[in-house]
Amino acid sequence: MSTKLRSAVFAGALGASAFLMGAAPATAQDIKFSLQLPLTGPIAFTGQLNQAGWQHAIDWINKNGGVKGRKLDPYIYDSEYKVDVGIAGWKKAIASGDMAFSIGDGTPFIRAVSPENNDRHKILMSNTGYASDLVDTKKYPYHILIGPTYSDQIDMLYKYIKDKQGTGPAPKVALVYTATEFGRDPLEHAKMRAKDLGLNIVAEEETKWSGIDVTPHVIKLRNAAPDYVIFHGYAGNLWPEILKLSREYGIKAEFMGTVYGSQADLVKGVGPAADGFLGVAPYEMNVAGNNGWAMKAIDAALKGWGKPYDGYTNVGYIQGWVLAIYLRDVIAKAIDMGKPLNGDNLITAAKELKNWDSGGMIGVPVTTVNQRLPYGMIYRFSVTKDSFSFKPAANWIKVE
Amino acid sequence: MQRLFDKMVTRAPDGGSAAAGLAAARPAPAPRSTTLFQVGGWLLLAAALIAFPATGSGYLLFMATLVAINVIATAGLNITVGYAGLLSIGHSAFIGVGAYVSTLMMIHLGTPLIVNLVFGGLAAFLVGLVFGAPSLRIKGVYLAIATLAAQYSLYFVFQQWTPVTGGDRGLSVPGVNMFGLGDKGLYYFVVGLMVVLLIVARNLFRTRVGRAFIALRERDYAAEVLGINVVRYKLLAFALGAAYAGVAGSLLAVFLRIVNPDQFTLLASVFFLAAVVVGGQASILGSILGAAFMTLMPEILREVLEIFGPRGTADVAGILSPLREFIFGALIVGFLVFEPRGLAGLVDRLRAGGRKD
Amino acid sequence: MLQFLEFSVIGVASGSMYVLAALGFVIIFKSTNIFNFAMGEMMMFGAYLFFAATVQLQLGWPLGIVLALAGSILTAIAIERGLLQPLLGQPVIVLVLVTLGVGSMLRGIAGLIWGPDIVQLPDFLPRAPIFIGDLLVPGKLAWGCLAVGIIATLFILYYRFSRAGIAIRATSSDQLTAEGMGINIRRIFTLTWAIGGVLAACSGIVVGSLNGITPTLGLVALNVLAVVMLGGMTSVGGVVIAGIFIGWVETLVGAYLGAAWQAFMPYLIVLLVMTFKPAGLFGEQQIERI
Repeated sequence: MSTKLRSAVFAGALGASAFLMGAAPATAQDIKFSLQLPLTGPIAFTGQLNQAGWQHAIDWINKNGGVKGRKLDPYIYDSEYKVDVGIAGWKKAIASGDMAFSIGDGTPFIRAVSPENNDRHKILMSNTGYASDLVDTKKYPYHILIGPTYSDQIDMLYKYIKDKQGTGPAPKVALVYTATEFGRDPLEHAKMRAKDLGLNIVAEEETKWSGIDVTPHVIKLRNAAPDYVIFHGYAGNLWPEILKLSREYGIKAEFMGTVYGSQADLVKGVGPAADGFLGVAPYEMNVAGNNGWAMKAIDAALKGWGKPYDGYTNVGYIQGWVLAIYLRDVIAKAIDMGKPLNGDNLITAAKELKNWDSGGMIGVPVTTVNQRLPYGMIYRFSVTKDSFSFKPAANWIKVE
Repeated sequence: MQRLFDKMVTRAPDGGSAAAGLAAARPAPAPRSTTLFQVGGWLLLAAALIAFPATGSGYLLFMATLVAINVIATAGLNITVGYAGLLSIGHSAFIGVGAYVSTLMMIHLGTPLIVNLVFGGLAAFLVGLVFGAPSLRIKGVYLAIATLAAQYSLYFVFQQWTPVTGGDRGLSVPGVNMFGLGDKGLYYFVVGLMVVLLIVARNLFRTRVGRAFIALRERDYAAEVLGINVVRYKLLAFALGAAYAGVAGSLLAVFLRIVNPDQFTLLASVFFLAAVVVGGQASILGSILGAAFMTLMPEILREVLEIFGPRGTADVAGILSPLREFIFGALIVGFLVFEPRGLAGLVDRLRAGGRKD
Repeated sequence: MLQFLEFSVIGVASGSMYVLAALGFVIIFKSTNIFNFAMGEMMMFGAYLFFAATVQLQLGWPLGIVLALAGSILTAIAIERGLLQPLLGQPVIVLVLVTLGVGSMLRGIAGLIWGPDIVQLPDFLPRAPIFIGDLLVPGKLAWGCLAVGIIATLFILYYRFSRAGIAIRATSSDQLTAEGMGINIRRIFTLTWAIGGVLAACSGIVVGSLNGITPTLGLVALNVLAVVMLGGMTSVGGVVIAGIFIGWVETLVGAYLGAAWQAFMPYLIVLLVMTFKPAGLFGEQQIERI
């Protein structure tokens, strides 16, 4: 009996796999695209919010005239941040028909699919990460990076440091990063650039992604006595503890971080130790009170979402919006130019789209450089026991 | 002594029942008797495999190729775990060795894939010897710990030896165009190689070496008394499993066109262990079923969640990966407790049941 | 020199974090011969139970600890009674595979219930730094180390002097004789798993309150394997010393060579021990060579 039951289950599973062959047809008018997002796995913290941002943006676009009257029709696939799973989703999306563009879960995915995409499919791509090598337009001719690279972000922090230096002595900078692909990404650039700018790198602390005790790193930071400590390559892990301990060890430095590690909700979670923390963001993060048309739409969407909302957003969430609206306008431009929606034409349209109006999501008019949007903003956080806020510490920066 | 053992095992009926009395709980290899039913089944399968790319879907072709590569890797682990009874929890690291060696040859020497994968397999074999040597002299689960050490040590090498391995970013792998057929060509090549390697594995267990593996799985001392050099055969079984992994790794590299350290983690190794247990230890059919099941299961799960879960909201998103991890574990435990012979055992019983009717 | 001393003090303190999990490992291995690969996940799970009781249910930390320990004991007993006892008599690798599977299940369950993000346990260990002369030891680390010391001492006393402890030791040295003396072996197995559960939960709570917890906390705890190997798989005293030693070396390696070396170092030790001294430094029983 139980044997039969088991075989029935197995047969059911086989049947279900046969089901995979079917794919839902979409109307020819719709603009199809795929999102391979890391909804689970190690970077799910950003992937899930990213998906929510996309979903809200698509709803809003489709309600507000679509793309020249055509609706956006996404195919969403959880890649688990694994290359083979992501490619499987991508192939599945390609197999189901013409796609205008495709968003990957991260840089390894883009690196893996680019050779094949360059030769055969020629689909416009983007992804959730900001890896520095993606600006190599020879290797990634169909990729648009929706923000500044991690190296660009370091440059923005350096610019802030230089501006504050004035005629003082060379500032001492410590780099603290994780021993991951993400963490090491801007390291070489950061060291080279520091030399050019006359900044003194006094410590390079490589930490594990997760670990038990961070004290040795803090001891070394104390001994190096930096004026600035830059965190890169973190999410909610380790850096809060390093920051808190650093305060206890009496380190008098300004602490700063690059995009994913210095999100508002994370900094808030650190508590008063994070008072004065400086974080780079590629987009506007204070939503409430911003008068840009896109920011108003985001404000309304966040209010209607039913999740706790304190008037600011998160990089993963707003990145979905920025990409969706940016690509809407790129596709519209290509349609205006009377061109079919293939990778070559869309990249051309993206380059032609000068002084793009992001509706307040990026504080200045946007023009791509090497197929990226090299803009960013540095926020200063004010955190006390019972208050939390952040505001710009400098004007919008464009990296040349 | 050696000859005595030879005689004993040749006389013993297929299925390693020489030792069956000692450990009835251990799964026995599938019976060899080939019936018309079986021949017909295999022919049908062969026809299906050849005709498959005609479905024209890039996605199905991708999944089929991935399954075939995983079958090769699983068959390798099955040699180590299923036949020889040695627990390896570092299989994916050996896949990595094959992937890197083969890719490096491709990039720097420009040698064809068939040569690269031989060397990829060989390299994994040798690395397997290095890690197996100290632990296999000792009885117990020391090999499991040594393979865990191999997992982390090799990951360390992949990640840190940047000038050679490309460090965290890994290596981009040049494309191959097998038989001028592109993806379909690679599919035929992988499936062909899979068939060859499965036949090799199957025949291995009819040779003296293979029987020695089974004997030492059942009982070290008995095997030793029978004149088997236990350490040597254990090493061989382990390294042979690693060699299969190396070949699978070489294929995986040209298939995904990227090699990076994060593909070769402990969780990937647990995936292959689950494939062996679920499919059926010490069974060729088991390796096929296990690898196919484990590769396709997440996809099926995904479809099921899409049908029954609330669609398109971020709220269900967090489920898939932990659910999958839970199911991997539950499958390992469930099969070990309730059906130690895995899916292959189920198929056998189904067939036996069919005949009775 | 001062810096070396500073790293050493920190290293010894952080090494103590390995001790409880390693003791849990050893006691289960000693009595049942099962190499429990789910130990790290039992640790992680205990820490999450504590999180659920204190942060989600707001029950306060004393009650939180009691509930976490109770939950961890129940989990351990369920594993032993439900999965391992039915498989007694099977080859060791089957049992070890089961523990690997159980580890994966626990990771999945934690992910399903509590999600993938890092969560912080309540600050029940005081943060204020402790000064030893000129040396500063972070408060949490110092108090965590003290907690480990107390729990480990209690455990060793229990193991040495209580009736149950003596029965466990009798079983581990000679099962047949122990059974002949009227010891119920199956109950002893269950008891050791329950004790393993207690040690795992304590370890998880202490480790987790230093730097937060995620469902993959258990994988970090695989370093404990190095401790167990070095200490000798069966030596209770050995793993205490080995744990502290490995924490010390790991801290120094991390401080002077960087994080990648730090992650690799415990496994290098494993390989060295296996090659040169498979019984570990303090192994009680002869290792069978083939």
